[in-house]
Amino acid sequence: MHGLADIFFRAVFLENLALAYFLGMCTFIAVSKEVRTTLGLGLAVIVVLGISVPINQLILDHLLRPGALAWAGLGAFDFTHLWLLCAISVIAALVQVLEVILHRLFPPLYHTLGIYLPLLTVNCAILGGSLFMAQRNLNFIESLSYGLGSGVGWTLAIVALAGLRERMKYCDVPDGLRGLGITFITTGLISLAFLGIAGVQW
Amino acid sequence: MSRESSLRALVVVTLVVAVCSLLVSTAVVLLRPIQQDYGAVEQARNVVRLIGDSHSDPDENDDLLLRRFRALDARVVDFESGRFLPNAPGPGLEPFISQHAQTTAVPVAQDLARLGVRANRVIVYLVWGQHGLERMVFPVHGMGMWSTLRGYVALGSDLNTIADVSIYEQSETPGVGDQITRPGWLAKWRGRKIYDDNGVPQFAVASGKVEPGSASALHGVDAISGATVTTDAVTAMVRFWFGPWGYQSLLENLREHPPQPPINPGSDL
Amino acid sequence: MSSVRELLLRPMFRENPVTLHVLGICSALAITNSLTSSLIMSVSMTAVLVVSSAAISLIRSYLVPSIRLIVQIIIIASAVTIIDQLLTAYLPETARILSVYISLIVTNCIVLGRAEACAIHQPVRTSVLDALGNGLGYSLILIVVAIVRELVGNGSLMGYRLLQLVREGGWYEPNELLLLPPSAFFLIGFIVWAIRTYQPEQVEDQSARPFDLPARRQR
Repeated sequence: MHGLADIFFRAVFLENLALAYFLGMCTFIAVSKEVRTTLGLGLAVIVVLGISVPINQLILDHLLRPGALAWAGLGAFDFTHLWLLCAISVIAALVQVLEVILHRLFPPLYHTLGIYLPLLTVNCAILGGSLFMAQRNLNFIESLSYGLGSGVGWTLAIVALAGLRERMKYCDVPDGLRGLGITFITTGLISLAFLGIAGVQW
Repeated sequence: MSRESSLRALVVVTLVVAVCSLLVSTAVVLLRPIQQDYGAVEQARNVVRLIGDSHSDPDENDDLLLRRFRALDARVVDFESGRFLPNAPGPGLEPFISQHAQTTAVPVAQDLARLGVRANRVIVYLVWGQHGLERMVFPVHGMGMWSTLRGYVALGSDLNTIADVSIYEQSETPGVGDQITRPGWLAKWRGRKIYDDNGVPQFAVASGKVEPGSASALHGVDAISGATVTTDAVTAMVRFWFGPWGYQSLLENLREHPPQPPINPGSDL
Repeated sequence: MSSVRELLLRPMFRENPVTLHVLGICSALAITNSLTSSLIMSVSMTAVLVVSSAAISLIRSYLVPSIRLIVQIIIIASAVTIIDQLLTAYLPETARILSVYISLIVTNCIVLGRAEACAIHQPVRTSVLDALGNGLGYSLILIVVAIVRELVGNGSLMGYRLLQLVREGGWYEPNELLLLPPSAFFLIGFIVWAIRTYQPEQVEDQSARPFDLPARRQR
C-alpha cells in the first residue's frame, strides 16, 4: 500500500466496487435512470461508506480480532466470527441514525439524500466495502481513505451508466431487450472497459 | 409508538440477539476443530510438494502428509539479526509465531511486493538428505494485480538455485494472470538463480521468451503474454523476499556458517 | 396441492427474482465462472433464505415496525455466519474462493425482499415454500450462467474436462472472455431477452420496479 492516495485511487478505478466486484448492482440497475437522481444516491453512498468502513475497522481491530481484548483480560478470545453481525448492524444503525439526524437538522439535505438512505442497508457495496477492508487489513486512516475512494468509484460508475441509459431512450432497442436486458449488456460493456484500466500502473 | 411497544421492542431485540449469538457461537465452537485441521493439512501439502522427495505424493492421505510435514526441520527466521532464532521450540512453531506476531513497516521505496508491513519472523523449512542440506523452502507473498499472491520458493543446497516453486493463492485475471499457477510454467523456474555474482537478486520474469544459453536465461523465465502486471508482481515479490528486507542477510550468513542438521533428525518417513 | 406448486414454481420461471425484479444479482455475476462454486453458492443462498424466512415468520407478530429491519438483518446475518462456518469446515477450498461473496448474502436483496414481502405477513409454511421457490429461481439463473461460462470459457464442467483444449493438445480454443466477470452481464441480459420475448408483458415501463422507492416517494 503506497500511501493513502494510492489506496484512494485504486479504490476509485482499479478496485471499483460496482464494475470490478459487481457490488451494489441491484440499486445500481434499479436507480440509474437519470443522472440527477443517481448523483443523490451516489452522494449518500459516499457518506455511508466513508463513515461505516472506518467505524467497522475500529470495531474489528479493537473488539473482535484475536488479542484485541487483552486490555480487559480477554486476550485469549477470538470474536472474529461475530464480524459479519457487527458490520451489518453498524451499517443498519448508521443508516437509521443518519436518516434521523438529516431529517431533524438539515431538512434540505434530507430531501436530496434521505430518501436513498433506507436502500443502503441492503446495498452490497456498503457491506462489501467493510468486508474488503477487513480482507486487506487496512488501518484506521487507510480505511477512511478506502471507504471514501470506493464510494467515489461507485458513484462514478453509476453516473456513467445513468448517462448511457438516458441516451438509450433514443435508441431502437429490440422489444424484449428494452429496459432491463439492454441495461445488463451496457453495464457489461462498461465493466469490460474498466478491466482495461487495471493494467495501468502508478 | 406507545411506551408499551417500545419496551416490547427492546425485549424482542434483546431476545433475538441473544438467541442468534448463542447459535452462531455454538456453531463456531463445534466447527473450529475441523477448520483448523484443514488449514494445517493445506499448509502441509503446499510445503511437502516442494521438498523434492520422490516418495511423497501431494495427494496422499492427510495423516501421512501431516507426519511428513512435522518431520521437517522448521526454523524461525529473525529478519532483524538475519539468523535463525536459536531457542525456538521444536515442532509446532505456528502458535509460537502467532504469539510473537510483530511486524515492521516497509519503507515505500523498498516495498517492491507492496506489502506495507512485513512480519519480523517467518518459518522456513530445511530438507536434509544423506549429503547434508538438500533444500530450503521459503514462504513468499506479495500484491498481485487484484489481490495477494502467496507461494513457496525452494532453493537448492547452494542457496541460490531455484529447486521448485509453488503459488497456492492468487486471484489474478482468469485466463491471463492466473496462468502463473500452471505447473508447466512454474517448472521453468527450476535451475534459475536468484542472485548474481555480487549477491544482488536478479531473478525476473522476462518481458518475452528467454533464449536458452543467453545471459538472461541464468535468472529469467519466460513471460506470460498479456499478463504483464501479474508477472511483474511475481518478479517484485521474489526480489523483495530475497532482497535486503527478506532472506538476503540470512542466506549470506548461512553461506558463511552452513546450517547444522538438527540433533534429532525427524523419523525417516 | 396446487398452491404448493404455485408457490414453488412461480418464482422459478414466471416471476424469477433475478430477471424480473433485478434482485440479488451481485453474487450471481462474480462467482459464476465455475459450476462448482455456483452450485455451492446456490445451496447456501437457498438455505439462508429458507431458514431466515422461517425464523422471521415465526416471530412476525412480535416485530414492531421500529425494530423490524434490524431484527430481520440480525437473523439473516446469523444464518449467513453459520453457513459460512460450515463451509469453511467442510468445503474449505470453495469457501476460500467464495470468501466475501458468502458474507454478502446478507445484503442480497432477495433475502430481505422475501422477508419483507412474504415472511412478515404469512404463516411459516407459506413463507418457507415461498423462500424455497425464490431460492430455486435464483439458483436456476446462477447455474445456467455458470454452465455456459465454464463450458465455453474453460471447456470443462465442475472441473471435469469435457472439451480438449488446444493448449493441452486438443481441438477446443476456449473463449476466455467468458471467464471474465462482465460476461455474466451479457449472459443475464440475453436470458432476460429470451424470457421477455416469450412473455412480453414483463417488459417494464419505466417505473415498475420494487426498488424504485425513491422515485415513488418523490411523486
